[in-house]
Amino acid sequence: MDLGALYDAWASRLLAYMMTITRDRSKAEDALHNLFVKLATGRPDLRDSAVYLFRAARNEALRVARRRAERPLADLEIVAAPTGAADAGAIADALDRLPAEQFDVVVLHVFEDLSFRETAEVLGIPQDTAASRYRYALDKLRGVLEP
Amino acid sequence: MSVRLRADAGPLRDSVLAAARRARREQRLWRWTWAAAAVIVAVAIPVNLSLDHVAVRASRSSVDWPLELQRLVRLPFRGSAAPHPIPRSVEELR
Repeated sequence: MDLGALYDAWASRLLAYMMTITRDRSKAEDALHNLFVKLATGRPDLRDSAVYLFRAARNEALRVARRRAERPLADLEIVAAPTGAADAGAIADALDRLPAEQFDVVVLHVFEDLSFRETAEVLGIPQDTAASRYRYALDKLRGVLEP
Repeated sequence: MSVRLRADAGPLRDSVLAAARRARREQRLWRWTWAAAAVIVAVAIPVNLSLDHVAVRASRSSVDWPLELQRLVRLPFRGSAAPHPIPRSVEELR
């Protein structure tokens, strides 16, 4: 396993994802550091690399943060919105209004482009549950973001 | 283009990869240390003990001490096979 190539391919995505959990860049960096040490010393199963890495990143971020922080997502400036859409701050604010379990699904399915199967595996929930949480989350986001 | 999360992990690259490689080296070193310890416990110690037994047996069979001398010095390696001292009476000792 080439750690350098793995880092180049995934580290920035994983760091951003970890920041959504820790809500603190330095804690997310610590978690990223721990994650790569574990990848180097363990026997990672990278056949389904997205699922494995996001699940490991989630576990490590939760371990470092101990509990989900309440800091607003907008403070982290990690949400990049396309031009013409609602601005990044408004999207971050709307995401912060979601319950944590719906937020998790939206981050993985929408922001990280994971399928419902992959999202469900990362979160350790049934695929149908992930899909229903996504639908509830979309309804809430529409209510907040649409004028 | 859709909404994305962005964070630049580039500045951390060198330190993270250096720590990961160092941890991997340390893990290999520990593995070799444990392997060496396991070889010593599983092979070297039993072989050494069995060689000691062979040496003791050889020394027993090769040295043919006179019986009187064995009684006097009470050679320890004879174990239970060694002749017991003959109790002497008080009169004899006087």
